[in-house]
Amino acid sequence: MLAGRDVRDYEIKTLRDSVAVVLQKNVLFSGTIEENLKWGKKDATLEEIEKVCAIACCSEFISKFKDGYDTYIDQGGTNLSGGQKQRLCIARALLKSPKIIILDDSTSAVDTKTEAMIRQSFRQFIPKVTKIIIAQRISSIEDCDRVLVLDNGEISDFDTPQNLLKHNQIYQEIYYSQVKGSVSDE
Amino acid sequence: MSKKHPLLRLLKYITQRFKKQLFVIFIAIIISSICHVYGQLFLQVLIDEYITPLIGQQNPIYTSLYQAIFWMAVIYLIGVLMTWIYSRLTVNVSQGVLKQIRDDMFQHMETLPIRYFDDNPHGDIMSYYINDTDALREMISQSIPNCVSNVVFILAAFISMLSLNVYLTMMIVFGVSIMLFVARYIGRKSAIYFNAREKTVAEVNAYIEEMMDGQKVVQVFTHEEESKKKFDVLNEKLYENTKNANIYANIIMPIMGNIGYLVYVVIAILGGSLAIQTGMLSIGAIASFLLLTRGFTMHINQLSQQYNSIALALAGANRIFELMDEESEKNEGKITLVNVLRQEDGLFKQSSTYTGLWAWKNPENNELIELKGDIRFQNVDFSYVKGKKVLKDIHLYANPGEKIALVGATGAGKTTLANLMNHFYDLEKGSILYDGINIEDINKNDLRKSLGMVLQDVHLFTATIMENLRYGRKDASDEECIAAARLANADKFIEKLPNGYNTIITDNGENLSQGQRQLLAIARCALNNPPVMILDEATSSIDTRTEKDVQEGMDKLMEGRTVFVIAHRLSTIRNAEAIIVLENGKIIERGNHEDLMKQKGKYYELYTGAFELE
Repeated sequence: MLAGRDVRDYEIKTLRDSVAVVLQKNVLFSGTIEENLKWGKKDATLEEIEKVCAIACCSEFISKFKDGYDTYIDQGGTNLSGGQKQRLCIARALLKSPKIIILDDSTSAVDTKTEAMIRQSFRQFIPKVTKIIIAQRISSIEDCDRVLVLDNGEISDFDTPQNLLKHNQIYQEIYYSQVKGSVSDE
Repeated sequence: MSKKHPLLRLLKYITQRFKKQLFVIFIAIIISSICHVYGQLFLQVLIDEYITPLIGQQNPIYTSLYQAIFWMAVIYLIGVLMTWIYSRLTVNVSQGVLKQIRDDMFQHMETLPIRYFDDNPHGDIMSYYINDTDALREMISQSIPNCVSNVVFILAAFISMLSLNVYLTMMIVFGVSIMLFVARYIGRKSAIYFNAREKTVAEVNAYIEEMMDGQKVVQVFTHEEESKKKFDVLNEKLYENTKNANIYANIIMPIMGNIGYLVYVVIAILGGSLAIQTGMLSIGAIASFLLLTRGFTMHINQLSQQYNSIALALAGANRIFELMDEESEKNEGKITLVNVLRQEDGLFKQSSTYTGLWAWKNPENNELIELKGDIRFQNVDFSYVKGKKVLKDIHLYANPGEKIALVGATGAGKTTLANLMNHFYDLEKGSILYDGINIEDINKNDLRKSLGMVLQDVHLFTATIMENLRYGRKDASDEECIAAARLANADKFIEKLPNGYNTIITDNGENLSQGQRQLLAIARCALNNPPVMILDEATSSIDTRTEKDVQEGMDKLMEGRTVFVIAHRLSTIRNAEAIIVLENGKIIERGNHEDLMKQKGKYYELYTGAFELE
């Protein structure tokens, strides 16, 4: 159900245009950075591009490239690091100005500090957009409104992170293995 | 041999393995061409000596005529037989040569440094194997034999014609010169487009490959129309180039053919008038001459047509040889890794079987140095592209058994450090020592055998899980593979698969989750039992439920080994002996967790930032 309507009722183009997905397997195409970003919006202005790049924390590394937004990306994005690719993919998705953005494990190669900055700017610049975050790291989802815990294809729980930490065993296990687990080693 | 003309190199390929067959082919071509010419020349004799005397006789005796016709048939039959022989053998030779070339290409490609694959689009490389070898096939199996047979025929026909009439022969030479001039002009035009076409084919291939890879992204961004449009542009270019190439190629035939007919008619008229006015020529000679004229122009025509396919094939050969000339990864290190046994006196003795204990062997003095896993970087500078330094003055060491964590933002140079340890690239400055030995002196295969790598992008091959695990160590038994899977905690999910260890992995493990792929990579690495391991963000995408198991498995794996962990999750590296913080290719901090926390530097920022930036 999307906005109270079965997703199957939507025309597929309309549906995909209003939902932005950043996939686990990032694909950038051969072409300049600008051309790649414009996949999100064909007629995007430089201003719009700069804005989404700022949100996705790409501006810094792009400005370090000699050719900036005209830097040519090789097939498969081999001249970029995993984290840079992921951030460009996020920027590309943001350019669609979606109603819903799905981030499917899309910051796994971004370091935690940059990731935190991305989340920070998400809150600041696109507060009204529904964000669905699929993540491995607890730190990626700690500030979510509600967390869906899945176990072998079944929903185990759907609650705020705080409540989950109190009640849900799976969530606790994951939480402690990542956050507190290492602390208790000492 | 490196800078020879591609045609010469190609000929060398052909002559190397097929000397006998080539000899037979060559002889067969010559005999068949001569039979052909002789048959046509024989017509003169047939008419003048066997037919003309019979004209107007009351009771002609045909016996001698039949005999002559019989011999003519025999001559033609020999020609046909020879043609069959050389055509048949040419197939053997051309396919054999191509197989050899493909084998050599692949074998050479395997020796190339990683840098080559960084710099060249994969679609282009694939096109060398598919399109360029196909162009070669056409040249070897058709163009070259055609050329030889045409040249022999033309020479034989020319001599025969000279023997019949010098004056008429000169006329033919004049006509043929015009033909060749036209052919050359059109051929050049056509060659330009053929070359352009080859290039566009490679572009189209690369584009299709890229779009297939990114199909999901295309759909998510509803970018189908745009992708199609871009494809249309490329496809249009391919269409234009192919069309133009073929237009020119196709008009050569009729133009040349018509000039040929014109020459024929002129010869017929001139020959006829010569015969009538001067009696220099007999009827038979004219008939024979005309037949030779047809053959002569036809073969010149055929010869000129080979121009294109040969030019095309040579361009392909050039690219193929370029790949083959690409400098192999240098492997000049003499020091090798050998299995050893510890003797009672504590000294090592080389062993020819797997012992689980290894030593570096210096071939100059047969000294054996125990493989411990001590790694040292000394003033290392490195750049992928000249002038853009990725690493600057790196000093770092790892004592055997230590766990070293590499921390830093993306692009700080962590993965580069791992690449350098494997000697995938040469250093710009400084050195890397492995157990006190400069890695440049170590044979690369042995160096890499002693390093376990679990990369961020796991690559699996189309084969069963068992075979994929065995990539770690070729001679491992099934039991050893299973034990390694157990160590990496990969056994649980493998056993749940319908075919267990015999499950076939396809398409780089598309049928497995990323976590499962990584587990396999860890198991594969465990099998080799390397003293040094590099875990490149190994846990970044293992699903969280199994992460604890994985962590345990990895901890078991890390025991007693030197380990470099490239991680983003700071919690997983807190127990490392040393944490090295990289920024812009420089080491800015080093120490254990407590030291670095006290320093309140970058690490402190990263660590606290990860948990407190909320």
